[in-house]
Formats: sequence, structure tokens, C-alpha cells
Amino acid sequence: MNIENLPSELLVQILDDCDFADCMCFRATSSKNYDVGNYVLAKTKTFDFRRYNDHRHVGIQSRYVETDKKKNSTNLNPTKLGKSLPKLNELVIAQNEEKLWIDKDALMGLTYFRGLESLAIIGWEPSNITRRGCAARNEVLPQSTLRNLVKFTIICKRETVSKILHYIIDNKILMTKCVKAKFSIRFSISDLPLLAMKFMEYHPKLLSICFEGLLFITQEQVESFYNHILALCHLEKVRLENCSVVDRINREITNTFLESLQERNIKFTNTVKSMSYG
Amino acid sequence: MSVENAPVVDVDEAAIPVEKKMYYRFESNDKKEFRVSELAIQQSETLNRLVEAMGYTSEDVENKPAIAIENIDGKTLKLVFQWCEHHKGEAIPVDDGSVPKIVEIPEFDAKLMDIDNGLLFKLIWAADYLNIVQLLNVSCKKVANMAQGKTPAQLRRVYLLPSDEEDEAAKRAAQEAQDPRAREVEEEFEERKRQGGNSFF
Repeated sequence: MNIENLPSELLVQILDDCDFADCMCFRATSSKNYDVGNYVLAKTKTFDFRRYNDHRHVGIQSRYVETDKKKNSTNLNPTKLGKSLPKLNELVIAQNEEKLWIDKDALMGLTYFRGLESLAIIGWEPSNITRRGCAARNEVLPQSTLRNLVKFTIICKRETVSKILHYIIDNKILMTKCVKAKFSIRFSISDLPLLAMKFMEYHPKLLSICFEGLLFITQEQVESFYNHILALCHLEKVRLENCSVVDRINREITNTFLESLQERNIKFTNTVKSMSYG
Repeated sequence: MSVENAPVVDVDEAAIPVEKKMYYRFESNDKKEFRVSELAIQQSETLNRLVEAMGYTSEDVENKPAIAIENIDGKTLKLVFQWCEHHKGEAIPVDDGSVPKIVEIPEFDAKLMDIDNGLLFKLIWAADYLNIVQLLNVSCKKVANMAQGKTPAQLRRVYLLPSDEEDEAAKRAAQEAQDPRAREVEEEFEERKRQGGNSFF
């Protein structure tokens, strides 16, 4: 007796205990098993790339950083994933410097996830794409995906947040369903506070907002940023981590901000700290 | 009468009527007989209902022929009843989807299922047929664990799966064995096709 002699509902029960990568491999064993594997995969609601780092056989594609050669091929790029997980609701895409597996324009494949509501992108840096006869452009996320998001998270080192926010603002992409946003940056650039404020202006329905690593130049900028936060009429939670200002900051600004938060019963952590005056 | 003077009566324990444990007799399709306790049978919804419907007394169990389980062989049935005896009296899990199912394989079950894969698949099939929920859960989990980190080629080996080509060859062989005329008709059809004829008949 082999596994194929078992009825499909038992195969489904077995595959329910397997993870995504193993299901993909089972699906590839024969055309008979393809349908069963597909059925199980189609039920998947969440996907986190960090769990699949060790699955070399399905292989998150990674590159040797020194030689820029491919280490593994992948079945996990968003285009292929989107086709096998059509009902996916939550997606975490993560890469680190040792495993740069996200190819150029790969994230355009996100458009295949039609039901995607929660997207977290960790460690991705959009590259500048130049093709013969075309103007250079920045890699972006598909507009249709952004418009459907309820929860949006970007955690990156350099310019990802500013590029994405620029793209959202310049193209007037209104993420009308978005209620939760988190932007974390290791090295902030000067226009980021302005972009963050614009983002909040465009999305007044936000319930929870989190900024990490923002760098402000003047205290006027901080005051304006606080006002933008307070202008979010549905806000329930605000998190500011490692946000600092180059200039000194007047205590009154901070106190007024905190009082307003307390009055409205908004949960908060930290405020913007002055780099020079503590 | 004081307590000290009360006569001491030796109680013959054997004389006290004790409710006797009932052991049902089952027979596999290869005529192997098993005796299983009433409590162990409760793990299997199918068998439990069957014995309830039969309404056997302890005399009936001894006098009437063993209950035949036609679809399961002796080797598999032995494992099933070993499992049932070990887990007798335990609560039967209810899978209504309200709580996420987390299955852990106990040590006894792991040892019991340390068998060849063909037999393991038979055990799953039997657990499903006899409706033994917990045995089905642990055996499915065991098979799922076997798949961890394997390539499709390795999975084929582990799960004894034929590839598409082998599958087709086996199907063709089975067809030929069943109906020798079918092959002749097919050859005739191929021949006509080669000659350029459009219609077969």
C-alpha cells in the first residue's frame, strides 16, 4: 500500500500538518497529487518567508554576496506563490544581507494575491531599473496591492520607506482600508518626516501608527509632526521609537502632545528626543 | 456487643459478585482473532456502535462467532487494538475547528508506529475506517513529519509513490492483463492512423 491508496480526505489531513514548502514538494510528486496539494495550499491564509529560510530544496533564492552568483532557485517568488496561494491574507516578505533573494521587479508579483490585507516587507531595498530606450525608474509595489492593504509594515535599512511613501504620495494612491501602518528605518533621510506627515494626511482613518528611527531637523518639524498625529481622528495607538531631532526641543511641545494623547485615551510609547540636549 | 468482641468473619472475595470485564472477539480478514476489552473499544466509534447494536452478553461473546472485520488484515488490526488498549479510558478529542489542532505523538505511539511505511498507511486507513480519532491524528502527524524538508524525489521514495511514467506503465499493464483484445484494437487503430485513414470503422 502506498500513500496514493488513501482517500483524498486523509491526504488532506496529512498535508494540513505539513508546512507550505512540503506541500509544494508533495504537489510535485505526481499529477494525481497535484490537485490534493493545490487544495490544501489554496486554504493557506498566512505566509511568512522567515520560516522557509532553511528549505533549500524549495529554495528561497539567495546569492553569494561576493560573487553575485545564484545559490538556489526558488519556487517562492511572489508570482509563483500568488498562483498557488490565491486566498492568502497575510504575507511577510523578508530578506537579509546574506540572502538577497528578491529579484528586480519580483514584488510586482504581489498583484496575484488578490485577498492580501496584511503585508510586511523586511530588508528589501527597491533598486533603480534602467532599460535600453527607457527612463530610469524605481522599483515599486503594485498599486492594486497597496489599495487593498489593511495593515502595512516596512522595516528596512535605507531608503525603502521614503521611496515607497514618495510613490504613494506622488501617484495619489489612497489606501482607504489601511488602519495600521508601521515604518521602521535604520538610517533616516531629511525628507522622510515630511513624507510621513503627508502619509498621515492622506490616510485619516489610521487606528495605529508606528514610526521607528525618524530624524527631524527642527523643532517646528516635530511640532507639525505631532499635530499631524493628533489630526488622525480615529487613532488608538501611536508608537515612536528612536525618533530624534537635531535641534533642541521645547518641553511645552512635548507636554501638549502628551496631554492631548492622554485626553483622547490614545496609547503611546516615547516621544521625539533631542539629539543635542537629551 | 462491643466492637472488640465482634466475631471476625473471613470474607471470601471470590464470592462477592464483581461486574466482569467483557472482552469482545474480533476477527481480521486473514482469520486472526483478537480479544479486546470493552473500554478499549470505546476509542473506536465504529466498533463501539457495532457492539452496542449487537447487545452481546458475556456468554454471547464466548459462544457466538467472533465479529469479522473484513477490510483490515491481522497485522494492522493488532496495532490498532494495541493502541486502543493502551489508550483505553482516555477522552476522545472533538475536532470542531474551534481550537487549532496541535498534535503531539506520545512515546508509546511513536514506538508503535515505528513500522514500515506500507503498514503505516494501512494503519491510517484502518483508523479512519474504525473512526479512531486520536489514532488517526497521530498517524497522520507521523506521516506529515516524514515529509519534512524532503525533495519531490525523496518524497516519492518515502511515500512509495510511482512517478507519472511508472503510473501510466502500470495502468497500461493492468489494462492489457484485463483485456487482451483492447491491445489488439489499439494496435489496429494505430496501423490505420499510419496508413492515413480518418475513420476507424
